[in-house]
Amino acid sequence: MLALGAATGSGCGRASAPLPTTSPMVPAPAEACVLTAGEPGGLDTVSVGPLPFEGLLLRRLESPIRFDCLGQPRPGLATAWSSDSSGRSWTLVLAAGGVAAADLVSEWRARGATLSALQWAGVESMVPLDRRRLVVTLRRPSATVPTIFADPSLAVPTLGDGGVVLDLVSHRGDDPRDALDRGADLLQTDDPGVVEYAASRPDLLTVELPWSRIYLLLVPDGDPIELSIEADSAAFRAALARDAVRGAARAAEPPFWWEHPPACGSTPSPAAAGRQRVGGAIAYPLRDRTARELAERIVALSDGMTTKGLEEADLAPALHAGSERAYVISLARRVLVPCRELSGWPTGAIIVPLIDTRSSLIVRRGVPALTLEWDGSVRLEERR
Amino acid sequence: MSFRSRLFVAFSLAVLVPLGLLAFGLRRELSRRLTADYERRVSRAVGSIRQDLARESESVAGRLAALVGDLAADNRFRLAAVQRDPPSRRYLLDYAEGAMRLSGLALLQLQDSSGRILSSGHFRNEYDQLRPDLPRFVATSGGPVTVVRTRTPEGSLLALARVDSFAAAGRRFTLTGGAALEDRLLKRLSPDPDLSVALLAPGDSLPAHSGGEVVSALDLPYLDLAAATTSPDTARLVVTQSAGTLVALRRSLDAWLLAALGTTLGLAMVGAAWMSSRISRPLTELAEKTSAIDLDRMDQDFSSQRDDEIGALSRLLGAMTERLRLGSTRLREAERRLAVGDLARQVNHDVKNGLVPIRNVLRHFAQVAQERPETLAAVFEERRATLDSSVAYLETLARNYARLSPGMSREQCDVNAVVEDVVRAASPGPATLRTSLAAHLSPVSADRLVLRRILENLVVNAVESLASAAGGWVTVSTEPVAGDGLGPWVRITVTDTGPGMTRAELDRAFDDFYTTKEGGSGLGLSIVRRLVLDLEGTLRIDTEPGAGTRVAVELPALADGAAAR
Repeated sequence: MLALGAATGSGCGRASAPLPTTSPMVPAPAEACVLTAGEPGGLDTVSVGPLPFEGLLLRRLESPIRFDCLGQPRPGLATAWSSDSSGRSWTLVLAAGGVAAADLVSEWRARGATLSALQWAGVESMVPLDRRRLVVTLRRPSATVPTIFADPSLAVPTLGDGGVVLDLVSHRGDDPRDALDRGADLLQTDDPGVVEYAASRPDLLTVELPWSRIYLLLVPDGDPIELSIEADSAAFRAALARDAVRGAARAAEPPFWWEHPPACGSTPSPAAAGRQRVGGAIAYPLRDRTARELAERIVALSDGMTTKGLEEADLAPALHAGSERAYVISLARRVLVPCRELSGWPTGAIIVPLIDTRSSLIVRRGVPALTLEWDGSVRLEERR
Repeated sequence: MSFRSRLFVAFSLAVLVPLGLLAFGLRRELSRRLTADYERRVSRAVGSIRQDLARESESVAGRLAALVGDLAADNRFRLAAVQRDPPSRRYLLDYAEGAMRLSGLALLQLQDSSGRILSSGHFRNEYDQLRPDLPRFVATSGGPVTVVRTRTPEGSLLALARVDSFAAAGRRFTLTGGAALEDRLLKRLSPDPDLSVALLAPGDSLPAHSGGEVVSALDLPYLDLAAATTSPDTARLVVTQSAGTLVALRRSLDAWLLAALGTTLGLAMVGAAWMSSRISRPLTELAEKTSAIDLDRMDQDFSSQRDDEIGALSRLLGAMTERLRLGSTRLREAERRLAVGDLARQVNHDVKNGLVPIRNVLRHFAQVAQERPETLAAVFEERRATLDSSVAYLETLARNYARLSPGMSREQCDVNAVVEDVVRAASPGPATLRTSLAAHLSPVSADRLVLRRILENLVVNAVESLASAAGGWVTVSTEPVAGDGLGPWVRITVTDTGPGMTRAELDRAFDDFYTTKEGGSGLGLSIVRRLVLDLEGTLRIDTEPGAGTRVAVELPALADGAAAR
């Protein structure tokens, strides 16, 4: 018998992912981060396949800075950044001809998600000095450029001409192979069948992306779930990755960013003692097949439990309230604002990392260069 | 209870009781026949359901046989299950899900000889679990139809299960498949809309809202793999009859019967009303005419053209009234003669009384003329007063008797005007005299003087009845009265609030010279009655000691403008 709850405490360790460091200008992408070099005379129009393509989209919606796959800060809306001696006030110098500092602050203030992210990141004030310079003051000093500047919620549409037009189409509900057959130039997928199909096509190139998602079991009230299997934690995770899910997976590997979170202050989640559980199921995001498969495997190894798929809109409040027996959810392996992610979790919960997953990028030959970002998303390098 | 009510009750009972019995019988017979019909249909349906279940089970078995044939020839399966080739394991895990979908089954589970799940279609990630109970139970249940409840990720699945097996490399594998026993299949089993089929696991009961009655049940071998402990048991496939059609039919029948009963009740009321009017109205009219008969009103017409009992009764009453009329005439004549005799005796007595002094004076004069003629003149002067007094007495007597038979001169007479004259001339004394006169009153044919005498007598009597009292009311009223076919009448009523009369006093009230008043002549009411009869009218006295007296005189009225007779 394996008590999942008991297996969580042993996975402690400080996150060793490369943290961004202050770097005024790194114009060229690091070689390690280049996924495809692109080919001369390539496509002028890039057709993006079905979901998920947020990574590509976000690069058309630039944040003030970004981090490449090595954690190196790179220019986004801002071409340069610096801090004062205290490390609390950071000045962003926006690109000439781009969005004005005052407009950027107005845009951020108008968006609830952006304000929430800024708040969780400890931003105290934002003051435009002139059209290009914006001073952001933090509650606590930061020795390196604050990661909040690369948060997707701070991204706004870029004004420059990229030279490449993204033909964005949605194919929700379709077979992803249909998108390829209809001429999509980029397709990010975790379906092995699609990857197998693309491998058989000479005009397509398949690139495995890094392990970017982690699936975990969250038990709100800390009551361990008894499973009828004789295995230690690592073997259990490996078995899950091998047999239970169909996509590319591996046993979840530390470090786990939530194990040593920064001081976030009080979170609004109800205490374990005050919760009222209304369901006895293991809930999962209804449209996440990997989460469903993991939940089903856990149910298969337990007695008397069932699975329950919840829409995203229902899952977040249910998770926050801890109203189900347990949850299988996925997170980014790296996050820029940990406090914001933790705010939706019930306090005192048992968190059991299960598996890491990654997707593959299928690229039609001739597409411009693609680079990998720090959080595992893909950036389409504009033609120069 | 009125005659009409009795007729209504009789009509209602006569119609409703047979109709109610008919309705009860119809309803009972209909229910009995429907129930028998349902029982036959249920019997046929149960046989059909049994065959359908067996057919469905055979269908599952056929699909399993096809899958077993494919699996035995499947190299990737052999690599994964026999050779335990790791790259082929994913194929094995996903095999049952795809095969189940392709074969149209709801349950598919591939297990090795130890019962370990190699691949599951309805619960993909239940692989490697030991579940030997399922194939063992299905294989040994003994019947073609076996019901199992298996786990699924979301809960459980109730299925009609079959099992098949095959060998590969000396190892035996079982393939258990099943069709879901869901509502759709159960509905398909029962084509009759009034019958429904439900599967009850051990401990289950029919839902309260089903509204059906269990009419038959099939016992099926049952294994619950979703329960904490699994042991073979028996499930019941129950066939229930929906009472909806029967209830609707009964309601419809009840509604029609109620409508028939209501209509009958209404017709009974109308019939009772009509019958009672046909029967009771002539009786009521006869009763009214009879009640109007008295000695002064014998003119009611009882003639009838009916040839039934009512007509006979009417004619009988008419004959009786005619006899009464004749008797009344004779009685009146006898009374008149008796009164005339009394009067003659009274006149004789009075005249004698008046003549006795005269005769005595004359005898005295004769004696004086014979014995002392010289004193005759003095004696005459002496006895002259006696003579004058006697003559005056006789003259008065003569006037008094002359008043008993005045001459009559008829003319068109305004009753209200006469009443007003009489009241105006009356001396009411302590009484208060008032009138209540009807407007537009028809005139009567009468001698105005006679009419005045009638009213004077009645008013004086009424006023004098109040003389001993501290006061009181005398009311003279007039009103038109509907006649009995001979024309309208006028009623003159003199009412007083005096002491009234006893029955004995009333019986003698019309006797001549009978009076209860000091100084009364005793001729007032006698004269009044005679005068009224002379005018062809009627006279009625209603009185009671202490309750006053009401004297009503009714005279035939003239049509407006008619000439006096």
